This record gives sequence, C-alpha cells and structure tokens, in this order.
Amino acid sequence: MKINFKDKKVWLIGAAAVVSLLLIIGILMIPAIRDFNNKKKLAAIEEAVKVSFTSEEEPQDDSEQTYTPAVIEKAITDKVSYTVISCENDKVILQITAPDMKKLLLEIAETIDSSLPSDQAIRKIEAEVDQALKNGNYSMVTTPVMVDVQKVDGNWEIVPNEDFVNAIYGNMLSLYTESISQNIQQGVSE
Amino acid sequence: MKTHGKKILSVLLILALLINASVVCFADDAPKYQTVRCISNLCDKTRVDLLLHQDQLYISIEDAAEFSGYQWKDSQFERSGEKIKPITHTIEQKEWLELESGMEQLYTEVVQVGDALIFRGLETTFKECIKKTDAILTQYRVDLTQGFAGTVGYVGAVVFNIASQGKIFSRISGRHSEEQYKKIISRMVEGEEEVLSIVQEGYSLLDKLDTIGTIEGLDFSLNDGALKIISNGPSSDSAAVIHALNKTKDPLGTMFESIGGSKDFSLKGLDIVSQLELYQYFDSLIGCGQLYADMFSYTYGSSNFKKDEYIPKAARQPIEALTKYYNSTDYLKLLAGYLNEEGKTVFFSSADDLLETAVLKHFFSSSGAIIIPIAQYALRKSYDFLFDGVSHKADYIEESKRISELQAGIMKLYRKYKKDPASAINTKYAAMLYIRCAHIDYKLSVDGGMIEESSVINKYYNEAFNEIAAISDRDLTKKISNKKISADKLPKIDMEMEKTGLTRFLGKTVADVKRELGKNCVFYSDAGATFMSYESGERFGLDTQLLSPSNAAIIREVISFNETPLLGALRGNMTYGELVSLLGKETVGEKPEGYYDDMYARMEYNLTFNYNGHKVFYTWRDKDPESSPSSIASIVESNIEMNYTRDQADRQKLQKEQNGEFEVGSSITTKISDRITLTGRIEHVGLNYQYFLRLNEGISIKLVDDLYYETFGTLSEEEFKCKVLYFYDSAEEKYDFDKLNTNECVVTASLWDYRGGEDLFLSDPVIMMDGKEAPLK
Repeated sequence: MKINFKDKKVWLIGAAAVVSLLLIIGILMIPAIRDFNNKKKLAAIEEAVKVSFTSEEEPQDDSEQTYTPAVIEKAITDKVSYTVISCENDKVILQITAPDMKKLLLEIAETIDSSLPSDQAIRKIEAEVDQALKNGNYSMVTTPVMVDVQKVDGNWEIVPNEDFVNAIYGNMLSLYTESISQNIQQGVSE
Repeated sequence: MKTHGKKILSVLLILALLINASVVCFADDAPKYQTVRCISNLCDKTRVDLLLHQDQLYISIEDAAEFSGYQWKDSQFERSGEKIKPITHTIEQKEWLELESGMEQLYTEVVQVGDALIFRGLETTFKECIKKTDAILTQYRVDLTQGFAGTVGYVGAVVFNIASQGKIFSRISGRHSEEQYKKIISRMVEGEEEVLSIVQEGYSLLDKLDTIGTIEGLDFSLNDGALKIISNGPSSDSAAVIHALNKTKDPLGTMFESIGGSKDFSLKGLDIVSQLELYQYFDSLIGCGQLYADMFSYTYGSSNFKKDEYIPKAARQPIEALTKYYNSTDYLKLLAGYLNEEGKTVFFSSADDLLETAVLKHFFSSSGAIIIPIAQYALRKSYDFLFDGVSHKADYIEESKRISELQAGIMKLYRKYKKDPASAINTKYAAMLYIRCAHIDYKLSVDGGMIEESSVINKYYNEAFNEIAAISDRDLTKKISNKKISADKLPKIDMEMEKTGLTRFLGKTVADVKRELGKNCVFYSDAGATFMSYESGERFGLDTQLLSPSNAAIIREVISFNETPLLGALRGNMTYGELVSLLGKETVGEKPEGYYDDMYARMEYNLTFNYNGHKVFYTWRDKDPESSPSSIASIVESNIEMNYTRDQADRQKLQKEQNGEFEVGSSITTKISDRITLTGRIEHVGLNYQYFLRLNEGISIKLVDDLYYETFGTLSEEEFKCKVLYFYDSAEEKYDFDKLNTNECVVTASLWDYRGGEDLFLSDPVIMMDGKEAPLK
C-alpha cells in the first residue's frame, strides 16, 4: 500500500501519533521527575536535620575533669544517626537513632552509693556516663518523630519540637520531666 | 522635877508618835493580796491574784508560768529546751516574781488596759520557730543540682546540667533561631498599637531631660537616660540623698512613679513578697536586657531581615533609640554586676541597706547624686510583650536554674541566721522566701509544660508559707519593755462580791445555769443575739446566735428587770439616786441625758459605768431616772475583747482572717468593734450601682454604707487593701461567707494603695482614702 503524503488524512494521523507518543513519554517520565525532586528535597532536609544538632565547635575544657556536661552533650549528639522515612508537604517523619540515655542514666544511677552526698553522686553519674559513651558501653534507641520543615531563603530548615529534641538526647529529657515531677510530689507528700 | 516631868512626857510623846508611825508603816508594808481581771493569749485565766508589797506588784511563779508558756521546774523556767532563771522573791514563804520585770524576763508583755491586765506571752520561741522552719524547709528544695534525692532525682540533675551547660541544647530547642525572632516580631505587627505604646513609653522616659520632679529634700532629673537624684538641701552629699529618701515610705517607688507613673517598681522595706518580686524584676531585667540586645543585634544585623516588613514604621525610631542606648550605656552592666553580687541581700534589706550598698557600688556620682538607669524599664516592657506566652522547656530550665541558685543563697543565710537568736526575725523571712522560691519554681514547671497544675500542690505550698508567716514577728524580736503598773489604778475585784447576784454566772455555761435555776427556761433572739430567760426575771445573753444553743454555750451578759440582784447590792430596778448613794458619783457618773427613740416613740435614758471589773448598763424608758426605778439593768463580762483566749488553732485562723484569707465555707463571728483586714478587688456590678469586694474563690462582700444605702456611681477596678472598721450584719452576727450574696452587711472601709484617683464616686464617705474622705462628685 502506498502512502499518499498529499492526503490530509495521513498528515493528521501522523501528527496524532506523534502527539500521543510524546504524551506517553511525558506520562512515563512524571514519576521519575517527581522522584528526582523528592530526592533533592530529602537530601536538603537530611542536611538540615544534621545541621540542627551537630557542632563542629569542641566544648571548652577549662576544668580538670574531662566529663563536663558540655562534653557529654557532644558525645551524645556525635553518635546520633537518622533516616528520613517520609516527606509530605511540610511534615517529615524521621527515625532518630541515639544512645539510649534514659536507660544508661538509670542503670548508672542504680549503682551509685546512696550514702554519697547528692553533689558527689551527681558528679559520679556524670563521670560514669562519660566513660560509658567513650567505651561504647551503651545501647542505641530508635525513635520515630514527626517534625515540621519550612523553606527559608530557598533552603529547607527543620522546625524542632520537643519530641525531636528528646529523641536526639536518647529520651533523656523525659527522664528530667519525671524527676521534676517526682521531686515535687516527694516534697509535698513528706 | 517639874522640868524633868515635862522632859519625860515629851520623850514619851515622841516615842508614842514613833511607834504609831512605825505601826502605820508596817501596816502599809504588810503584803496585800489583790485579785484583778486579766486576759492572756496563752491561757484561759480571767482573774489573777497579785501581791502588793512596798508599792510593787508581784505575780506567783505558777501564774507567771501559765501566762508565759514556760514551765517552772527545778527552780527555773523551761520551754522547748530554753531555760530561764529570773530573780524571784520569797514573800510569806512563797516564791514571787516582780510583775513587770519578771514577766519581761519570760518575754511576756504585761500592760494594763482599762480595768484588766493583758498578758501576751511568746506563742513561738526562737527554738520552736527553728524546729518548725527546719522541718518545712527540707521539703521545699528547688536546688536541682544538689537537692534531688534518689535515682531519678540524681539523673534529673545530670540531665539538667547537660541541657543547661551544653552548647547545642538551646540551639535545637529553637530558642534563638531567626525564625523565632521573626515570629515574635511578626506579632509586633499584629499588635502594632500596643507595642507602639510600650516602646514609646520607654522612649519617652529617655526623652525627658528636664527636671521632672521633687520630693522633700530631693530633685529628680533624667540625663542621658539615667535618673539622677540630687539633694536640694544644705548638703548635697550621698548621705543627704539617703536621708531624704529614707523619709519616704517607698523611695524607689516614689522615684519611678515620678518619672513615668510606673506602678510596678517598688521596694517596701520588709514586705518580703514585694522584695522577692523586685528581685525577680531585676533578674528578668538582666536576662531580658541581654535577650533584647541579642534579638535586635541578630535581626538588625541579618541581611535577611527586612525592617520595613517586620517593624511598624512609627516604632522604628524608638526601638533604634533604645537599642542605641542599650549598646552605649554601661549602666546595665553596672546594675547587673551589682545585682549579681548583692541581689540576694536585697531580700533581707530595708531601703536604707539597698541605698547604702548602692553607694558602695558607686551608684552615686561624685556630686552626691544617685544615678539609676531606667532604660531597662522600657526594655523590660518590650520584652514582656514580645515574649508573652512564649514558653519552652529550655526557658524553664534557665529560670529554674536561677531560682535554685537563689534558693541556695537563701539557705546559706538561713543557716547563718538560725545560729543567732538576735537574727531570729531574719530566719523567719528567709524560710518564707525559701518556700516562695520553691513555689515559683513549681509554677514555672507548670508553665513550662513539665508537669500538670495541681490545686493540691499549690495548697501545700501556701500552707507551708502561711504556717511560717503566722509566727509572730514580735515573738522573734522579743523587744519587750514592760512599764510600771500602778496598783492604785488597777481596779481590785471583790471576789466575794463576784459570787453574789446573777454575775456569778458570767463566763459559765448554760448547763451551769440550768443546774442552779432549773430547766424551765426559754430561748429567744433579739437583734441577732440569743437570750435565755426565766419566768422569775433572770435573763442571760449567750455567746451564740443559735436559737437552740447547746448546754456548753457561754453566758456573756446577765440581765435583771426587777428585784433580782445582779452584783452585790445592784438590782434591776434602781433609781439613779440609789446608785449614787450606793457606789458614789465617781463610779456611777453624771445623771444620763435622755433621747427620744423614734422607733419605739419614747424617751430613753442610758447609764453605763464600770464596777468591780464589769461593764454595767442601766436603762430607764419613759421614766425620770432620778425618781423612778430603772426598766432594765445588765452586766457584761468586760469592755475588753476576749479574743486572746481563743485556742492556738483559732488564733491562727483569726490571723489568716485578719489577712483577708478566708476559706470558702468558713464563718467568722464578729462584734461591732471587730477590725478585720480584707484584701480584694472592688467591682462595680451592673446598672444597680452595687459594689462588691471580691475576695478569693468567688467570695464577695456587698458594700453598703452604715445607713444601709448602697454606694453608687462608677468605680474603676482597682486592687487595694480594705480595712473593715465595722463589719456587722443586722440579722445575725455570725457571717457565713458562702451566703454573702444573699445577705447584706455594713462595711465601713478605708482604702490605701488606692490609685484610682478621680474615678471614685460615692454617696456618703463610707470609703476613706488614707484617713481622708474619698473624693465625692
């Protein structure tokens, strides 16, 4: 069969075929483009998360003891890792893995001689925590948290909330809340 | 011989005179017993037997022990481990103390008021105070780093240290992020008018450069944003400034009011709560100054920060002026340093100490002027607005840390004070501050979302605070100086006469009366009081308003209409002449002048006098007292309030009530002459021109004047202290605060701390300001 290129019908069919082909290609490309954008956003958010709790600055060590609270803080946050689970609009679900500070602190506190004056007991716990973090004598805990993100001057930034902060510190802050509550309750009931 | 005889006669005469004189002297020197009326805050005794010897009154050691709260043991007085061995006198084989000096040694005040002696012993000794405060203070530690006990407590302290000393925590908790600032400043735009007024208020303070006011002996001026106070008296040195300032009740308050009407800056001597607030003010001032500077340097310095977008146009100039001032002045640093070092002593200082410390810290210029930076006032106002409602756990940790440091300082002072009885008063206030710190910390922890608010916990804090506050300052200062009491001026009570007539029932119970006079009596109510009456004419006023009183009700008044004797020869039906011939005009007084009683349409003559330690009333109705027997006569126990005899719990409750701290559902019994201080807020309700004094927990008192006309007009809401001079319900003396809305009471009040100025409109001067009539319009 001969194709008559002068025939308008032929031209119309041909044009329709090309448009259809382009459309099919376009539709097939959408997930790939979206995936590309998401990956870019995820990478930006991952960077933003990292920036939020890392510090290049070494804590100043102006005392003889090597386990100042600032040193311990850095030792905790240096060990934190995280995974971005999902990213919907301005909400991100993260899985934060950090030293299980709640467990570690309670375990160490249990071993402290109860007859020690409170300030010595506290110093001793701090020293033991410092050692445990240095020697790897701790377990990790993974906590899923949801945080808001927002774009500021073209860069993604996270908006930290309490769950986020608590997860980075290995649930340490919830322990603090419990201790405050217990202290007040004890004071009242005594 | 004749001469000799004369001589002998003369000698005998002289001898006789001498002997007579000595007899007279001996007669005067012979100890005499004298029973007098008395009341005491520590025991229920209403009579005390004193011994008069050589013009000195003596009290027995047993009575002295009762009135002072000490115990007589092994030849000395003892109480809670404290031993006192006063000088005693053995008279007629019994041990006595000189009334005034002896009681003084037992820290017991004794004064004569009217016809009775009032003994006021220590309700709490220093050792008892320490025992109480020690027990309470161990329960109210804020000290996060040292005070926590137990496993969870220790790790809480460790967490606190890490969070507060670490470098990352404050950053990731979002405290100083630019976004935070932007949000805050965005809020400024939303509340443009409000922030403008706040910022401009501060700015206007800086803008006033002329002399702005004077108080006696001082000129105030503002120069370069600092308040200068200069003595305008003969001497212009610092001492003259302090001297002039000390003459004012509230020097700093006066100064700050004079520069801009700031009502919240106040230092009032030993008003401890105000001082704590003052410290908080200073403390937040330092913190806010730094935060404010941080915020503005961050936002102003940031290239991303668009001033036009965030700052209202009219606010820019004032903000920039304030920021410039903040950056240029070193007064803030000076103030911060001063407060960091000396702030804690502010709690325990009077205005004198504060100002003297200011001298030491070079707050005075070489010319003697005192210089106080005031830009912080504006900064604080702006900060309060900007950070209102912004609450993070990080904020709580910061605040809590400051409070725990403060509390640790207070504990050090407390330990120092408790070693020295001379500083007993400071021990009390240090303990109160300590608890207040704990309470503030608790409230912060609630605000910071650390724990749930609990009314029970609040109550515990308040109870602990009130328990210490209830310890009398007077007990701890022990400044007692008893004046000589003259036996001549102290009416003696004839105890034999006390046993005669109906007076013998005074102070006894309904049961005692029934036992003697029988059970055939009726009870009735008249003018809010309850009476017990016998057909034979005996009548008794009771201390209760109940129409069916218990047998334990006390007889406070005895009444006679007829021949029934009241006391000695006094009866219910006597003429004025009979009374005068019986007791003398000196005791009875002048013949009463009558008045016409509109209510009963009759003439009435009333006579009142004191006799044998009692208040006696005689009334003639439509009769001439001179020629006709009285219609009614009555005797009440005394003209002295018997409140002192209430037991310890009652007295504590009374003290709370006097402070305006009424519990819901509590009732108080008052007499017309009772004075109660209520603290509350006056509110004007609806169009009925009614005013209510709002107390706590929804309790209110309707304010009406003593003629039962309600106050009217408009009155701006104003916090004030209201001293109730007359508090009396015509229907029943016992007042139930739960039912206040359905009752009317008469309240004549005086206001102080009233700042409503011209907004006060009243019908009659039922409300007085500082002893003057309130402005009427």
